[in-house]
Amino acid sequence: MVDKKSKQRLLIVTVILLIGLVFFAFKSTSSAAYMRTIKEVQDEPAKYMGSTVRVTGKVIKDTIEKRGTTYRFKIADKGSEMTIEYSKSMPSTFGADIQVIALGKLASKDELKANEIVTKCPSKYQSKVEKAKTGGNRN
Amino acid sequence: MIYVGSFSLMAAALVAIYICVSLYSWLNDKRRNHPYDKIYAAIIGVFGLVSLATLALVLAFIKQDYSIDYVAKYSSPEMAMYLKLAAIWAGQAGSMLFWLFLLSGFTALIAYRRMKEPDTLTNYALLILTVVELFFLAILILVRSSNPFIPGTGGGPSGLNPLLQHWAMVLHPPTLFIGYAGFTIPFAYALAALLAKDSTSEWVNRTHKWTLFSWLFLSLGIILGALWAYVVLGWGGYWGWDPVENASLVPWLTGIALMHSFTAYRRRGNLKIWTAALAVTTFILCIVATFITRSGLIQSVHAYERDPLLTTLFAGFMLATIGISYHLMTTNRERFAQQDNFESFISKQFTYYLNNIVMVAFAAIVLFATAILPFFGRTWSADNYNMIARPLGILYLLLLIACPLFGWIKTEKEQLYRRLMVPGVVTLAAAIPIWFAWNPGKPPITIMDAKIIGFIGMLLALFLGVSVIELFVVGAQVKAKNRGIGFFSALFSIFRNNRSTAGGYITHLGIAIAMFGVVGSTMYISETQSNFSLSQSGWVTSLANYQLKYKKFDKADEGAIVSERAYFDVYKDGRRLGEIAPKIAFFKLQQQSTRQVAVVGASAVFNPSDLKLRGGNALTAYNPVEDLFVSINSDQNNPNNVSIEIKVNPLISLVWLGSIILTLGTILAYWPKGMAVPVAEEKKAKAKAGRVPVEA
Repeated sequence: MVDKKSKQRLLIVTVILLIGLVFFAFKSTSSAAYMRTIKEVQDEPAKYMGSTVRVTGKVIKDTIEKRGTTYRFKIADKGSEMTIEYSKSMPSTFGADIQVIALGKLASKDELKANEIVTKCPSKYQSKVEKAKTGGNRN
Repeated sequence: MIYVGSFSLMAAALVAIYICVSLYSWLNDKRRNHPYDKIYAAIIGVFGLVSLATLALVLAFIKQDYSIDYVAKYSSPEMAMYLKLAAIWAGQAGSMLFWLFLLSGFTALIAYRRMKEPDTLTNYALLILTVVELFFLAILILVRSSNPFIPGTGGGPSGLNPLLQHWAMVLHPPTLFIGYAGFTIPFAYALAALLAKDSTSEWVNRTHKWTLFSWLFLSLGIILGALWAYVVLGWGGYWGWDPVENASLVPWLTGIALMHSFTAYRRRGNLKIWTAALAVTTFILCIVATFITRSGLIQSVHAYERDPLLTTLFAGFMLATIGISYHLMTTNRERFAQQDNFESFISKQFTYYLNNIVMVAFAAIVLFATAILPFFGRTWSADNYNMIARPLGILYLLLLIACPLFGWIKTEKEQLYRRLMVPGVVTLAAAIPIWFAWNPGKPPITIMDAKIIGFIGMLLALFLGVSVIELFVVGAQVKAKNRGIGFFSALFSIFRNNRSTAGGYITHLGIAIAMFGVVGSTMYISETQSNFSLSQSGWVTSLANYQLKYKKFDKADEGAIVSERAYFDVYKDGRRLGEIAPKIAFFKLQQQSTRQVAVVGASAVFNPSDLKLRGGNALTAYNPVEDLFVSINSDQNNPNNVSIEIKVNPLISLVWLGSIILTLGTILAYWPKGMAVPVAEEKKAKAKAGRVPVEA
């Protein structure tokens, strides 16, 4: 049995701790990235300008440029295109025709300065439907 | 093979239904004289049938039977045999079958052990386990995308994703699945105890070894995944807060809480209802993790929705589990009330409680950000996660330091201060060198600066490490004195007779070492990138005190792969260490290229041999706790150029060393005589509690 007084003391500590955690979680969430398609971003650029956005698309062949340590390339998703700029380490599978997830700040309607680039790893993430879509790439 | 597999699964489902009905009537028969030997035989029979189905899939992979869609999708003839076998768990359907195979195996083992003396608790647990088996059978049989025995469409083999063709990735899924499936056992027994209205520690005694076992495999799976990410993915890190990683982290965190509340339950009769709730939560999280990783739930919410049957089964099962568990817990609240009184914040009672809160809250936050936020079109970046993980990491290190030094109810202050002396002095002495080793020059800015938190984390990890060693030393000294034996035989006796406590502390030591490494390797990386021309032999680049001298480049067709290698001589402070050859591997079948990283340092142990340092006096020359990490990439603009990326990753090997020690500690805690809890030993440990620190 836990008596009333000790229950109160425990409760106070727990509440303080949880408030702290919720504060951090809230802070993180308010700066969390928007998960949007390229088209959604380009339809309302003013809404996303300056905030962190996550877009997905396939790297378009022959658009990859590298100046010094900075990569610039275009990705395409359902007919919309966006330029991505990125200057950190690239994942090992990065290249043309690879599906990437780019997270970063929107610099203009058509350009994202990425902080994080993830290349999609097909067998880990793909579900049946997606596989049917990308199945054509396989020889 | 298709028929053998499908037929076995259907037969298993029928037998499982029979088991549920019979166990239910046994449990409702007041006199309990219902025949049970047939039920137990049937439980083992389900395992037999599921094994047959699994074997059929194994044989299909060995024979490369492309009439089965799953085989064609995940393997190809030129793959090595171990990779063909690993392809079994490469996709959703095979993973579900493998899960069921493990679960039915564990269930059969329990039935076999209790065959001679069945009891109410076990029979309730077996009933619940069989219901879970039925859930997996239903998914395997009814959901097309989850059935590994669907006939193929006649296309050729597509082969396993090249990134997954690495030994760590071969072992990573099955170790995780062993962990996930294993956590079904404490869940089943928790519900069994509630159903049987048995609030003694019996169910905890029966399952605490299973829990350790499951947590051990879950840890191993996570470590292997991190290792793979480090040596294969080539971005230089090992943890990216990716949804798939988070999915396995969440039950791992609640698993920690569960193991510790088991101790509180068994030794003090505390946290009873909470322990049962944790067992249920951990199981649910394991199921969620399986579905997140294997169905694309998170990465592509839309694709997942198109499989309404799977969604319905999954959601139905989750809701039913939560509803039933919640009902049982509220109706048993009084019966499962806490026994101890809470008196002091300086007590194990409080640290165990806080440990639970911290782990569960952190798990809830990670789960929220991973699985809930995407539904609102938002997602956390790694920075967002780190913002929470860092202060919590600090708080957790403090808890780990404090807990073993505290008594259950109260703590003698004087003794506590004495215990804090040695680690305190060591940490203070190390503080200045640690600061200057990794933060040269730059003065601290704010208290929330990541570097300050990292620095505090390193100091606390050091404090924890020293205090754990002190626990063993003092424990052995006291024991040696009391028994009149030598120091080392006393130490040995601690490891021999108090395995669960000693193993726990070794695990803490592993965490201390790994945390030290985590801070070093995430916060103090130095890196550089540059381009060079392939004809420019003798080109030199450098980073920190390493120099790389380019020698030559070659391209070789190796059958399934075309390898492009750049050869470099590696020097440290002007002294030649040897030669490395990072490469770009192009997988012909999948039309996919990957960069394969050459690592100079302890982590190279995990790399394939052609990526290791060759020649030179490598063993004596390089820093054992630091990695030089080199990868090359073709230059998209200029085919005559190659770009090179170099990183110096300090303390990374401490992450692996800490992980190994953590694993060994858990094995030690788990070790005593199989799954059964050695009651005599537990009693002995209990009787001694309080006298020797390590036996607390």
